[in-house]
Amino acid sequence: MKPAIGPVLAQFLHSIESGDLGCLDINLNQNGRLIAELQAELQNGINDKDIEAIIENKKFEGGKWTRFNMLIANFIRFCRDVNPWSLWESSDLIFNYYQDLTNCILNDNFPVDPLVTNFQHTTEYVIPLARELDSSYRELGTRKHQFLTHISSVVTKLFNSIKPRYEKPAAPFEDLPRKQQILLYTANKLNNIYMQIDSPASCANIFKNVKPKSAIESFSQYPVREQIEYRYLLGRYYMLNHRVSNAFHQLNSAFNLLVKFTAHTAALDPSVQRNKQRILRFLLPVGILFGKTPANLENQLHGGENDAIQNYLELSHIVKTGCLHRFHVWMAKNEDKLRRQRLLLLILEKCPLLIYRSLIRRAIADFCFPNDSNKISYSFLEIALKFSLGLEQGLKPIYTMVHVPANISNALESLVNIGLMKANCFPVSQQCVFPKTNKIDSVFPSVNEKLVAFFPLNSDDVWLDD
Amino acid sequence: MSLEKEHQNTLEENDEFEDFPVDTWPDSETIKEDSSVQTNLWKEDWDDVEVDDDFTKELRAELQKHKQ
Amino acid sequence: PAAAAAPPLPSDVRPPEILITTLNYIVDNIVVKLPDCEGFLWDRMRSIRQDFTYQNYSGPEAVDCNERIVRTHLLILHVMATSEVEYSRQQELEQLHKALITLSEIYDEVRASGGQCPNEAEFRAYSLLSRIRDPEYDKMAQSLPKAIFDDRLVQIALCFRRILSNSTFSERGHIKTENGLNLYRRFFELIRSDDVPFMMASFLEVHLNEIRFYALKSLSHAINKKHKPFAPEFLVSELMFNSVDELFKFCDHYSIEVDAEGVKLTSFSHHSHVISETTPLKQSYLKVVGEKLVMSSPKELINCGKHNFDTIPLRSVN
Repeated sequence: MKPAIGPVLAQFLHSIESGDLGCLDINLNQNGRLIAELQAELQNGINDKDIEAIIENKKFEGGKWTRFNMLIANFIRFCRDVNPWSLWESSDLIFNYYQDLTNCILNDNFPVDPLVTNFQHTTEYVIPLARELDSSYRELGTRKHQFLTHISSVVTKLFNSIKPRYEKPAAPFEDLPRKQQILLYTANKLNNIYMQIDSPASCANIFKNVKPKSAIESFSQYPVREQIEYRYLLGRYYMLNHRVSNAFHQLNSAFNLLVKFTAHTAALDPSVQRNKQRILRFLLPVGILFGKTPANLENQLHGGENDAIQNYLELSHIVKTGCLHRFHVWMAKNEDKLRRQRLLLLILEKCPLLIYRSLIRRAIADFCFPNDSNKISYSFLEIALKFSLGLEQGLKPIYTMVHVPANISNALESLVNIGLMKANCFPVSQQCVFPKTNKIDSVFPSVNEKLVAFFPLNSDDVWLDD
Repeated sequence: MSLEKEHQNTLEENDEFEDFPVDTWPDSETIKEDSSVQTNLWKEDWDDVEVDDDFTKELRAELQKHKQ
Repeated sequence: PAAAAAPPLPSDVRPPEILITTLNYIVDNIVVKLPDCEGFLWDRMRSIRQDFTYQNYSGPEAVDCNERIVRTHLLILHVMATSEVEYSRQQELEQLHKALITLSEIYDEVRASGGQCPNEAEFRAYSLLSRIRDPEYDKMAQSLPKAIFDDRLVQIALCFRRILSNSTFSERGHIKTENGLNLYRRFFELIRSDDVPFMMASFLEVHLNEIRFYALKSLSHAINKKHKPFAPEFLVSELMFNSVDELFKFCDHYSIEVDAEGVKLTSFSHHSHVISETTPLKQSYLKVVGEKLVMSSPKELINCGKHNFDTIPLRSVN
């Protein structure tokens, strides 16, 4: 006997049949009315078997697309059983539905394109839910990051199912299949989750695979928001791996794109401002490590995180004066925040060489150039370094144990090794000899030019700029 | 820690991008005109700017005493 | 057993108390027979760790055994470097890394349930030395609770990571990063100081050959092409070689010319401390590290930790 179909369900099935998949939306805020009406109707005793039978009868897509049938069945079950007052109780239903939806669009032999939009909407809906559930993992007795990890595994399946189209030429964005269009979107979602669940090493695999999967003519054709976010995430990933020039390049590009595409109407929007601050939070320190001096910052931000910006202007100044003591005090003062941002050890490792450089440069400019001398003794520089280190009272070992006056010889060698200073060292006679010149830049070439030469940009990223 | 403070901290530490509007008419020509002012976040040549502050003065005085 | 072998019968797996007793016996009676018993120790310690893994047990006994096993491996590293007895350094290091990873996982787990293991800081410090050039470990360090981060041993380990942050370090799979300082003189100065306990110093000795290699590379790239040869005594003292003979062997391995005038660093040509298809140089050791060792007995060194019982509110109610 055929189970009775109520009018709401009948209408719903009709919509699906006619290809209107917009009603497949589990977001209660947007589709609450349909869901509530279906719930009222279905709770009169329709069981899972009935639901399956009804769908079987409908023969969607000629009845051959089993996963689509499962999806519709799951949606109806979701509507019947969802408890709008308890996220926790409904979480199984929600995540099962999300998984079924994703499974449905893995196989490109079926007409998956219309469902891709549903996938995006549902992703936007489930990620904040997962985050909320994860935030109370102790009360719930779940593992840390359990829900976000689950979502990442679902999105990974989709990401892996986006196949390159070897047989066809690259196409502009508009002409790509829907799944190809969301390649950058899924990459960003995954990388965001990995950063959040403290597993940024997993990002490597995503960054590596975007280019080979992509069928687009040019990276710049992807939606500009997605391009900016992709570069932002890539820059942060490089930063976590201490790759300064690569991090700088991506973060700086992200910032420039954001400014460019919001220059007219959107610049004052608070979300744009906050995103700028997010980029600057990492771009400023990495720029300083790259030998750059920030400028025109007032123009970039309207209110907001000015303290942080002032702070980095201070650091930039410290690096140029060559004062290690002020550097250590600055680090100690900002330690907690920098540690949370995973910037503390990066800066602690990468700044001192630049500070040594400024200090030695200062000594040479003031005490060798006026006398036309082209050499300087280690002992003289040790006095300078001792003065730069100042008193260490009250500082932790990470700020006091590494740098001592006797480091001058090794610091000179390190500077010469990566081309930041042109000189010859004479460790036995404790002297350093540099070219005879009256231009200090001939002894100390531009930092970022040398760094780019010594630490080239990753060739895998060239396509982002083409 | 008060609830409000906690909320502030989470905002401060939320590194994830949020959805944002972009100009609907990103006319490439007009952008080129004023982009130089807007997007140049860095000084062209950092070493051109010599710093002169308390520390550099004191350092000079200290080194003066030990002049080779 | 090989990876494909069937898991042992439950009756063959020793319970936690027995594993503690076994390790006690080893520490009390076998460790003193180093260097000869290295292979035996390696095998028994691995099987203790395996028995914990088989029963998926991570309670205080597992913490205690893994901690003492790490210390024993650290002791072995130094003792074997000073001896002529054959051993596989790579296998020692492998087990040591595995024990450290197990410990890190347990520490995280204990913290997630609101507790803290009393010796965590010491072993986090060793972890930081175990992958001394991997930025992933800096990320880990920065996510540790403040009290652990501020612990003296952790701070010292972080300092050594900065001291070796050499931008010209070159090895397969390693990506060079910017602005690294090669403060090798500071390395030798610190390792001899009382600030660095024996266990850490022993772990740092593992890097001795490569530190000397990159020191010489750094020097050779910073001097004039016509620089005269270096007096062996100068390099022996700069790089803390145990003898001129040891320096000469080192130079020979890396094809650095030595003649009556001294060591010709201008002939230095290798880019990486690893020379493909060549047996690596045997690990060196420092006399100053040996001096740290004589101050206490191996047993005291291995058993020096705080007691791991009761401090862990693990699985109290389930």
